[in-house]
Amino acid sequence: MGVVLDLPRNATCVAYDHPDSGFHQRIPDSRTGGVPSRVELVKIPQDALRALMKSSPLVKSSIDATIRQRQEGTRQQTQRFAIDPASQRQRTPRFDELGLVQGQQLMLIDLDRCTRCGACVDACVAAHDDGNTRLYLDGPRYENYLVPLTCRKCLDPVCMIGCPVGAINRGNSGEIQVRDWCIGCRLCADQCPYGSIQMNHLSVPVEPDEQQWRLLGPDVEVKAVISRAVVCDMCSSLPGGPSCVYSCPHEAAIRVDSKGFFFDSVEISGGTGSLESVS
Amino acid sequence: MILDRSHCRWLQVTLGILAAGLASYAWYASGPSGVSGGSLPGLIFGIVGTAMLVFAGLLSARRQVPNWRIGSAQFWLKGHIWLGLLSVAFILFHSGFRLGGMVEIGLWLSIATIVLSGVVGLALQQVLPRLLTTSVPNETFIDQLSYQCASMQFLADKLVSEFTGKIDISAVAAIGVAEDVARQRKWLKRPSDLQKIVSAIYENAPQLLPEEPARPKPKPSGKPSALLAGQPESSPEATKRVVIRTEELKTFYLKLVRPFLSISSKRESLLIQSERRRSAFNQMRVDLPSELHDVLDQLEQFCDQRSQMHRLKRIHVWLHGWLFVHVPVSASLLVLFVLHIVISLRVVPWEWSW
Repeated sequence: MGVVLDLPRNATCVAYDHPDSGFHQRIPDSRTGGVPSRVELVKIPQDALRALMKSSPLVKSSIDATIRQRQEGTRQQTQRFAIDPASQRQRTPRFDELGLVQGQQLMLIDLDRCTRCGACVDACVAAHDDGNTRLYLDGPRYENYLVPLTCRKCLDPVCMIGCPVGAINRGNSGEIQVRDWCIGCRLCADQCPYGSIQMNHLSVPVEPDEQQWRLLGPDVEVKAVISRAVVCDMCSSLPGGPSCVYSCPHEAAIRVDSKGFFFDSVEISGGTGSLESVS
Repeated sequence: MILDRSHCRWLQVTLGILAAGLASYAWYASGPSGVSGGSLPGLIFGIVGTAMLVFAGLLSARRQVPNWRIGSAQFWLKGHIWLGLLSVAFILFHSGFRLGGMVEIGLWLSIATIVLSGVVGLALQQVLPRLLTTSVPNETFIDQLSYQCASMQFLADKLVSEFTGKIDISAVAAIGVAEDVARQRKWLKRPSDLQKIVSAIYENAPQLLPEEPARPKPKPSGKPSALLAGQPESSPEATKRVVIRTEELKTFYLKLVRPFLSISSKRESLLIQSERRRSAFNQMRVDLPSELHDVLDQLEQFCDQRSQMHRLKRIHVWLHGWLFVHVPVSASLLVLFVLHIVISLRVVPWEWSW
């Protein structure tokens, strides 16, 4: 809609797909030989949709409400960028170079506030059963912020391209998630331009179980999975947002929409610790 | 924790409770029975003050359970600061502004130490993070310092040995990180490359991998490796001059630079101050031929980074050092509180008067 109406882009990529070879066979990736993940798109012809809306007032009202909601969102966004003097700030080459524009939930550490206590990393470790952190307090600086190595929930997540087993995709809140059938090929980790995906060594390599061996047959050569990709899931299973932000006592760790934050002073998450925020 | 506008509500609530407490105390103190910690109002003041202190103390317990959604860490820290301060007033009301016996004096001293160290810590937090950001541009984790030092030593060893030939030192720490550093810099094309790199740097390099079958080695020429590696051929005199000078570089590196790069280097080192460092390196630039100036530039960069790490460590000590007073004294306060309660319960006649 943004492209058609020449309005700011507010959509985000939820999945990547690749053209089908025409023989119900996905085209294997040239580097890994793996078959890309499958994305299904439901295409509803305009006439059919109109007929459906005509026959069902419920569907019509639901679609109308969605249209109104999206138009309002776009209108607000356009207005905000047009009148707020902060939006006049120019994007610097450094902003582009660091790929900050990609960050829908960019993590920033305000270095003027941070006492380097490491509570954010401890919280990240505690939030995950495997005991591995998804947050590394290392990375480039932008203004007075550290941009640590952790997932920024890119608008255009190139890490999702070409996973041979379709183990990386977006969760319900748009967070990137690596599923437990990851084979540890490290393609996603190599493709992430910001070093946000880590490969974690498995203490016990994963081998096919008896049933899988039977299915595979005796002649198949199988490699054990010795590592798995690990990426920040924004603690989507926990209430209250990412643990790193929730556990920072100094209000130094924040998760922001980069464009809104740097050009419009809009923050997505990052508690203020005010009395109201507790309720 | 930076004190900013987000503290306004906390400040208002604190001042409100303080005003209510003061008014109550004024009414209670003007009564016929006077003030006493054992009276009902006195006990109420004591209980409220203790509850505030307990809440403040629970901050450290809350840190042990970062994933419990029981209020954000910011909320707890703000509560810790403001209620911790407020508790002092209520404990003063409880005591009737009297010091009391030995245990109570211990309590007062502990509370004073805790409040004072907390205020100092808070004041330092207003300044030091900013100072750290500006004065340590190449900041690293404090836990990574030994790794970073060892990495710099390894890189510097490699750099110097390329010009001066193998170095005859024990370099356990540097060799320990050699594989990591080499891998990050994509120097390892084959498994045997690491051994080759390390053997080219150190005179008595340890065997990192199982020994490969011996191959005929090229005959050592006795010349410094930089001269072998593409330096322009020159007269025997010039070669001799560079060889002598590389010895000077080696001595400078091993005596001054390498010890400074180590994790155990002292703050008294000549190279820690930027002016003295610059002057030492400039002197070496005067002494050594221009072929070696690039090495000196890189060594100076390493020293600059190491100097930043010293600064980082120093600021960290200030930033967190006050906790070494604040936390243990808080623990001792708890013990003294229990003692105070036990002793008071035996003394209080349990006939409350207003």
